[in-house]
Amino acid sequence: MLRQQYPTRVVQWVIMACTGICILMTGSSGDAQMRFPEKNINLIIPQTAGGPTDTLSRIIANYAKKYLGVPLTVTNVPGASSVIGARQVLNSAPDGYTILVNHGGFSTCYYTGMADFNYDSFEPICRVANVLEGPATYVGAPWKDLKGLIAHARENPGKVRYGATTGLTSHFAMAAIEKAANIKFLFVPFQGESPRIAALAGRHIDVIPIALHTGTQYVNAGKFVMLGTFAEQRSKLFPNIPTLIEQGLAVTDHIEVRGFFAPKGTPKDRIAFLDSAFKKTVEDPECIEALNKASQVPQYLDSAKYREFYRELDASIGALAKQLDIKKK
Amino acid sequence: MDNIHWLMNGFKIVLIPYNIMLCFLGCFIGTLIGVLPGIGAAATVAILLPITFTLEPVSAIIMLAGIFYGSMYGGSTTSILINIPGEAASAVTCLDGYQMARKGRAGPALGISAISSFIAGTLGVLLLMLIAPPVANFALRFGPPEIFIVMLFGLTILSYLGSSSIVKAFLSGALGLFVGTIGTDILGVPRFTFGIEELYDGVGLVPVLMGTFGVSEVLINIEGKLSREIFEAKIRSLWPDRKDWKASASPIARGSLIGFFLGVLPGPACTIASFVSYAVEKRLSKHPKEFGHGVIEAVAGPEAANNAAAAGNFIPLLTLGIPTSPIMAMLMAAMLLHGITPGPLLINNAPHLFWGTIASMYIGNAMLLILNYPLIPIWIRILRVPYGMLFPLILLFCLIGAYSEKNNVVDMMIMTLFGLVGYLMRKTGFDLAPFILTYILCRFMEESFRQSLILSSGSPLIFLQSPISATIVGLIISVISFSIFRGMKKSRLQPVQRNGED
Repeated sequence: MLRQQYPTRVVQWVIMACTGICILMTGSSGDAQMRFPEKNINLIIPQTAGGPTDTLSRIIANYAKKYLGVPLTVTNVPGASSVIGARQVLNSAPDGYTILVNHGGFSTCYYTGMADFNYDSFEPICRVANVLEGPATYVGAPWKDLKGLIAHARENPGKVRYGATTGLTSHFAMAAIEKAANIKFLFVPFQGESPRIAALAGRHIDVIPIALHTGTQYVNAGKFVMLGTFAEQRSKLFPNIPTLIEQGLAVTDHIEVRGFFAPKGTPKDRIAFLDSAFKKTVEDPECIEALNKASQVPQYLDSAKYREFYRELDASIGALAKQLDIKKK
Repeated sequence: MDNIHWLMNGFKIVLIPYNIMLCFLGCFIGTLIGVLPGIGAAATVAILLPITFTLEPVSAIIMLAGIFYGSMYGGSTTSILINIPGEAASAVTCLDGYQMARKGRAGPALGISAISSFIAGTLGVLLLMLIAPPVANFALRFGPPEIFIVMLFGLTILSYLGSSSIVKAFLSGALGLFVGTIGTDILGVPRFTFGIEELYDGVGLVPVLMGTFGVSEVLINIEGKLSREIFEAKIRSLWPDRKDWKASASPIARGSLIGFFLGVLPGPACTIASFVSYAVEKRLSKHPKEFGHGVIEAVAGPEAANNAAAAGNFIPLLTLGIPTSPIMAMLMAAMLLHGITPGPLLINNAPHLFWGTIASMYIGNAMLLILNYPLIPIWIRILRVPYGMLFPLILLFCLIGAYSEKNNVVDMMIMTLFGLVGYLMRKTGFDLAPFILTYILCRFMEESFRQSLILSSGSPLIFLQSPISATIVGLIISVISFSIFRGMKKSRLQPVQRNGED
């Protein structure tokens, strides 16, 4: 018995000391007056490394540190077409230290039944940038331009084959063309941009949505023809590519533009701080240059305007979703 | 020749101390990653991607590429020593490499593995340099129907992977196909996901591979005694002998060619290449019955194949700007982050990148041989570590590897579950290799099959329309009928040869 008493007392002291330290530590972390941000801000990318969302996020993260005062670390949490990453941010603490990058993916996933939440479960921080994309076809096709393609599709409904990723923004973008021109294509599902580029290059399909900088390379190599761009205005980087709007189709690229989001309930002043920091980031000339090299263009909108923008986008995606064969589960 | 001139330029870019150091770093990290079971090259490249931001484009690509083909070297080490593949592409090496280790021939196995990786890697880069553009253009002609037929051909390999009953090999393969269907199909319909979001993209290759091979191996081993004296007593030689070299020469040559050309196709090229090489070696061998019990050809061929496939994998990215695997996609991202747009004009627009990468691959392969070969005696020491200390580390690395891919805890749970599945399979005498092969093939097969039928509005004739697919269909039919014919001949002779033969 004696032998056990001595260690017991020591153990008691150790436990009391640890408890004391813990109390001291917890006492300081719940302070609402703490300066924000004090530690790293974590940006969740709900896609795998290597795609345009990932590229954009890493470029922004590189230049945002200056304006945030702390590093912006990026983490890829891919899966279920961005739903897993989005859900992780949805469930994380609304303290401004965990944010999400996403595009029209909230709505596409919601209306195709992949997610049970939509953009309104988040606080939009700001809109950031967009990838320049447009439909492309192969050289030697029976049509020379967009008009020719649409005319051919009218005469041969369900025969012109396009490749896109099921239920994602590329799918919706091509469906928007179908709706605007009142034609019917044949949808051939592919996983990601690269397989459909290979399929088009091998002439196994007819049209694909593709990033302009990639498409231009193929144009210069004599393989592809860019039929237009989804953007609302011609880009200074690609002045020879007409917009779809110019060619008579009411199709825009709103679905692709990316922005940052925070969990609902994040304090307004922290959102405002992040908003202004990111605004300065996308106005930084070095950042703009890096983005342009990756064929992305800054398209900043502040928190309130972005919410409005997304509301309209969500409505148009909802309408398009009815047109696609994907039912809400 | 113009190419030689460009290559010399490439060497000039690489042979500065800074780039040499980065090449070495990439190869070293790649080897380490390959050796550690579970943690894969893809996850590593993703983690190191931001660090390369501060580097020059060529330097970044050199380092990241080094990680990739370096992992192909290291992956076989654990396959041979502890029957757990470090990479999916090294799964086949487990079959015979581990058996060689059990016979005390771990040294020769590791040695031949390193040498064949070097020869195949160098050959692969040479071919890449010489015939990349025409090969890439030929690969473009592989549309959904052709890809499906190639995968179907890969399925015929199943019959070569069984070491015991062929029926069990097929059952194992069927299980792999089933597990491969878990997840959303190409039209977004979830299957067997039970509403679990994390299963929407399938169960994942790393959790399944590490679970069925790694965790189950640990479970099997700790079931029995924790001692492994058989290895210690029987380490006969450290280096391959003359017989080994002679036996490995042709498998290496064949494996390199098989690997290189399969590496160009989309999908898990390195893994499929190693499986195909194994089957080819078994088919061409004079003693096929010994396969699965420690034959050096079964290590030399697949190792050559997966390294050559790594070189071939670069072709679509470097010549057309099309990444055909997750790692290539990340290399493409690295290029984009550095302001270089990969595409068909990369060779013209950024020749320093193309030729610098190629030059670095020559140097990298040489570095990897120098890194790996002398380390063999050290690796063998691992066999002397008491298993009681080794297996917790193995499990730890497997868990980390499963988590590191998608930063998701569910992957760790899936891995553990498949550990149990693999354990049960082993206890009941089912081979694991067919399971993994069909699991990997399943997604690509179904995707290309359905794409083909969509394109043909439901007509199966599309698989015979192009010369490529028709040829491969003919090949499949002839392989199968030849085997049936041989089987029939054998059964007719069987009454005479009843005593012990066959």
